[in-house]
Amino acid sequence: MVLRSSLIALVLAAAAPAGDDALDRVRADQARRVEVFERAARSVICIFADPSRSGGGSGVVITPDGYGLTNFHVVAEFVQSRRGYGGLSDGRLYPLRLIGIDPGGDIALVKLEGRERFEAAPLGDSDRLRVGQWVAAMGNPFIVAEDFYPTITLGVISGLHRYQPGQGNLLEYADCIQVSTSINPGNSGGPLFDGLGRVIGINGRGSFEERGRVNVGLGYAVSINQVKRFLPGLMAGRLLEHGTLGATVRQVGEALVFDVVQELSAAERAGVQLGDRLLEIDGRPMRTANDVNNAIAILPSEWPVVLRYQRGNEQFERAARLDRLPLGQPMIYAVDKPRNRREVARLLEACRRRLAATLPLEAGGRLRVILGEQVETREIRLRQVAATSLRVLEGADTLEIEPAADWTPAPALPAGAAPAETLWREWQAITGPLLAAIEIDEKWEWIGGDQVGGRIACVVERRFATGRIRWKLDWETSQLLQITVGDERDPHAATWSLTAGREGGWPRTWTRAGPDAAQFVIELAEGGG
Amino acid sequence: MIAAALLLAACVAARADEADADGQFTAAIETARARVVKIYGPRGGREAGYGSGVIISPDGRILTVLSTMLEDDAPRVVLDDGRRFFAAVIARDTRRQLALLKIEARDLPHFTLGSSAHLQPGDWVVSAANPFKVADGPEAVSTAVGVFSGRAPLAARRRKQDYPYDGAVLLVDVLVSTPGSAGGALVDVSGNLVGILGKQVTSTRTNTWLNYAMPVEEAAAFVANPQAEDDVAGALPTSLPSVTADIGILLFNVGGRQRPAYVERVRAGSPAAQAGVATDDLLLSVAGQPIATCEDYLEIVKRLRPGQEVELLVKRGDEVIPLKLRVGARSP
Repeated sequence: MVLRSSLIALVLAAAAPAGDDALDRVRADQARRVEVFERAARSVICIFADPSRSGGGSGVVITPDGYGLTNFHVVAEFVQSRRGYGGLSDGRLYPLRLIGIDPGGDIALVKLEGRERFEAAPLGDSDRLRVGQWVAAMGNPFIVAEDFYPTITLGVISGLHRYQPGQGNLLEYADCIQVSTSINPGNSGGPLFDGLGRVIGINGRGSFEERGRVNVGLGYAVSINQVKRFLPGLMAGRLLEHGTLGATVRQVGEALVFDVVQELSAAERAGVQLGDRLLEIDGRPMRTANDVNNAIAILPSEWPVVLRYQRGNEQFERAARLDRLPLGQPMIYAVDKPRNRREVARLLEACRRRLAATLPLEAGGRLRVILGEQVETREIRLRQVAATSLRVLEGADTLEIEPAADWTPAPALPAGAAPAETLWREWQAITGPLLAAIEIDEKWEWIGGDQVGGRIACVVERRFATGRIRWKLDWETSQLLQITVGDERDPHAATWSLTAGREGGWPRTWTRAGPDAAQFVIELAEGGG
Repeated sequence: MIAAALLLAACVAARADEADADGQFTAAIETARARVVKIYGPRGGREAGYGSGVIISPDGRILTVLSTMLEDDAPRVVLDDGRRFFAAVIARDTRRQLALLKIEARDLPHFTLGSSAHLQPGDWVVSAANPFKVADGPEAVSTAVGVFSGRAPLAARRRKQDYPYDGAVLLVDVLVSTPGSAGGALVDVSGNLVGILGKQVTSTRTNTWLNYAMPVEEAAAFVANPQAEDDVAGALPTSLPSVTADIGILLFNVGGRQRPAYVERVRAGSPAAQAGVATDDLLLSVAGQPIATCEDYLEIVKRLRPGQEVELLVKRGDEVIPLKLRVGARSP
């Protein structure tokens, strides 16, 4: 019934006289735009270095607890003190702290203080933009806003995938968004919104040349998808570096040919040799040197990339992690440890809250061990014995998963010993911290970000005397995606990949893959009791 | 239940509007970008050494503005798909500051040189060009959207001696007065070429940079008859098919600065003759646009499209007579 009457409403709307309808639509469009921009404007920050309102740039709040994005060149003035001020559309000036910086990509993360909750703008998806679509820039150009209500300028996307070089590995705008929207001094760091009020970029640059520093119709914004890859590292409170392949290409006719491949570089680790032809990076076709810059300069150091290249008639597709691209000028930026610890605790709590809903595991579990060619399957039973522990019933043996405070990563699979038991203990250790009662101590640190299965992850680490465990949690949902044990340089390092259950609770399948080619799978089956 | 239904309807409508609003210019932009080229040559003085051009024939004729980048033997042209060519300058028009280039290519997407007469102040227009040579190789040129503001001659322009064109140009609020934009395309929302983005010009009165385009009719007139202009660099192999609007009125055009538009002669069988225009009629308006002088009339007729229905207002004796006619076509 509801459906039918709504269809009638639509038909009626379509049948209305054309002239009035067109005008009504313009009015409705305008009313909606005003409403969207009014809401968006509440997230826009006017940033100052001190309360006398010197300096001056813009920013945007992206979380209700006050984290905000801006340009690095806006906060460069107070990198030492890490303290500045942010005015919001309510007319009030709030103190803000500088949290993390990405000088290479001209991005900084700040945190506003002095209010319980802030109006945050949602982040959009800048890979889905189209040239010609309407976009609005908001900020404080020429520092005109006495009441901090942002100036709104409207225009269209003029170009995508633009490359604007930086200086000394600083302030490089790769794969950026070009807009006809007015971007003037003071707009720097402010948000570029799409028509629905989602942040799709951070405005920071324009083409000016001989015209003085005034808009002449070409502004550039760092794409929000680039920023998203740096956000976990910025949240960790770090100075971030961009990645590099450690190789360069030269245009030879239609082809891009590797003409420098540094020893031990990411490119070399991916198997690239001098003279190989580069075809694709992360599935993006490579035609020009700008294409390569656009694909690499948007990634943090150590980020995974997939290269496709050709040697003779043979094509290769190899993955590698990027090398660090050092900043042209050295910069010292220490992590604020107490803040980092608070954020780790918050993140892990969020992760555990997600899991808590699916405990107790009434499941009967099946443990399947695969070691090389040998497959050994054992039936086990898991059941919860208390809020803080799981008990594993295996035949007559009873194993209880305990806190893993003093666990040492297995140095190697002990020869002769049942390898399954060793791995079983490793699993206990890495799952231990998932249990609510285990305290997140100071040995945990938020160290940065990574990409796991196409998702952006926060990486938190717990160090031991002999090694480390890294957890990778989904940036948006705090879901546990992957656990690595040991160091990349450690021959016994291993990665546990997790497959979530249907409701995204306790991971159902745990697969351990290490360089020793041993696979270890734990499947938690439902029911069975 | 009604409330729920209305809400649902509103949601559906809102989504449709969002898609429409974001896709409003997509077709025009795609058409324009495929037909605009990047041009490179020597720089000199205030000129950048790079610019834009529009393809006007499948075999590689390109219209652009006169500039030092054409002083080279062979300016370089890069197409939207990244293909590179050396171009020959085959004609120059110093009055309109336009140039016609030719590259050796086939089956290129190209603009038809039509009319800008349908543009009304407030209409959307889209620019496509390569300001600041932001786009490189196969990268797409920049586009921007704005409105058509009106037609006017660039009376208060600086350096008139270098740019003798006194006719009306298309004024726009798109910021197109940027290095490298000149020679690019101004299109309407359907992707029709309405003008060629003009050379950078500043106003002697306000010192501002003027955002304008040379009307497509002027470009067509140059292309149709390139030898008529001075500085012809070479012979044009064939003449493009080009039509000019024709009404069939010859005005009484003798000396004097302000010449009222009196009809001298009406060609037999012409649209004007069929509509009943008579010798000695005074033209008051054509297509709703007032006419004070012969120049006004010539400007308006240039913008008419063959086949267009227009209304004429003439004064005959003490009588004001409205007449209707359908614009004819005439090959130059």
